[in-house]
Amino acid sequence: MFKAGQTSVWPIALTNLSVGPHVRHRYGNLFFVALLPMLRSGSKLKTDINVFLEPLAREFALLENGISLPCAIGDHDPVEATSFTIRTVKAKLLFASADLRALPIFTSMASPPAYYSCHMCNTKGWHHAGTTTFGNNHQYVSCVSCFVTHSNVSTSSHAIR
Amino acid sequence: MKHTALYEHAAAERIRIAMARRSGKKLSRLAAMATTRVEIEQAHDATGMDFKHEDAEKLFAEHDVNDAQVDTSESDSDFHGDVQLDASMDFRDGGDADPSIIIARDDPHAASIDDGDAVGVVAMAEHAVEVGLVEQSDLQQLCERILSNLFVLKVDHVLSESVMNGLLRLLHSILVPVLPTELLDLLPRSFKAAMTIVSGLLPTVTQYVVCPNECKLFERQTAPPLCPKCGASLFSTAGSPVRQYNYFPLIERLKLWCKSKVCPSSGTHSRSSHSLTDILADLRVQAFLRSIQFASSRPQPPPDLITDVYDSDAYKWFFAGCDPNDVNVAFSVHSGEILSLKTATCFHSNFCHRSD
Repeated sequence: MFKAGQTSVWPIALTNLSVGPHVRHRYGNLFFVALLPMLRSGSKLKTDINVFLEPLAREFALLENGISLPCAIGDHDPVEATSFTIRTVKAKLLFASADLRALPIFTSMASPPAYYSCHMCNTKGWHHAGTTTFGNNHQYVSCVSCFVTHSNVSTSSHAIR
Repeated sequence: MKHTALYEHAAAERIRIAMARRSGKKLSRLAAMATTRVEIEQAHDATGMDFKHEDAEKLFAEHDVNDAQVDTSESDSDFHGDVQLDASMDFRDGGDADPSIIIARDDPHAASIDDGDAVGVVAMAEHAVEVGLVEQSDLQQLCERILSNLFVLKVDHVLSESVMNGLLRLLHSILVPVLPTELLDLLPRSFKAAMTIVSGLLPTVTQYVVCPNECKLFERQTAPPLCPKCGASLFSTAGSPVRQYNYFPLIERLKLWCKSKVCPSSGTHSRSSHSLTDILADLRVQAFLRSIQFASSRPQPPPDLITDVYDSDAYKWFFAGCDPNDVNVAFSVHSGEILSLKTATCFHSNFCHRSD
């Protein structure tokens, strides 16, 4: 979110998949739940994110069994005040996504400049032009086989982590 | 006529008077017009009768003739048009005219206004408050409306805090000579003060104190001075925590989401109501019942086509027996400056267009 010296702040957003796909990524439909205070030592981040996810995990444990919330009813009048009904609301976490800088931290794996930076297999890459290369003149962060076949891991031709 | 509408038009007229004074025009005729309007409103409230706007224009025209005899050197035709427009807006309701509504100009406040001083306009506003024409709650509503519009302006155009401070200072510098002190006290002078006013409507924040070595989180109220695991001090010598973690509880957000108004066309913001609570509710406008049934009511694609997460084999395998009306969320974390871009954000430029 911003970076000042040795600290930076990363936002954690929960995307509401119960909304239609064309509006689910709007700011009004996103649940921003946390701002992670990230510390860095040199060029490496040294923040343990699992500590900061404890309140979120506690709330998901409550939401798994359902909580009673007053919900709005009266579905066709956007202006007038609507009436409410008590309803048990459950929420579940389907999947997680992160960008390339946050993904190694959340998965406790090596970041892309490392030799074993492919998150799906044990192929060793080599350094070329400042990045890690996995062959075929493609500078993918994952090895080519896993990059091509990431949607169906079982068809990968080599050992999977 | 509602008192709020009257006060808003009166405030707009006072702002125009201040602008006219800045351009060197005389105030006497303009202030007298404003006084006449208040008198008409008083008579209207006393008699309980409405007027056609033609009658109001007659009244203002008659007043113009009288003033033109006094001061013929003015050349404010532009402002004259504005006043007629306002008259047609104020006297929109139909009804019969009463020729006895013109009150004699022997009011001491009106006499002070005829001096051509801006203090007279303020005295007129205070007089209107005293006689009950404008209630104190109306001032507060106007202040809330100004604040809410500024808040929406900041949200829509991603204005910085310094810009908001400058806008509020500009408002104060403009409104000091023309608005009563009650309203000026209600208007904050900085964005920080404005946020304290609307802080009760913002999402709940839970503050945690973090161990410097990231051993554990402690709630701010019950945090010990030292970490029980590593012995590091959690607070500095000044009493502030060494590291602080702001967490916005998900259940509180779900409560707001469930209680928000139902909008049949999801994604369109309803701005018909302008109170602060409604606009903040519109900012998180959600189609709850419509959207929460999205997973079960969406059209089913062909078996070999995946259009959403609900079509995947993994979802059908994991959540086969779950209630389709559950709230499904996906966790995402992003590094970098995704929220600091003003023209296009990461979410709008990449994710939304891709999903469209």
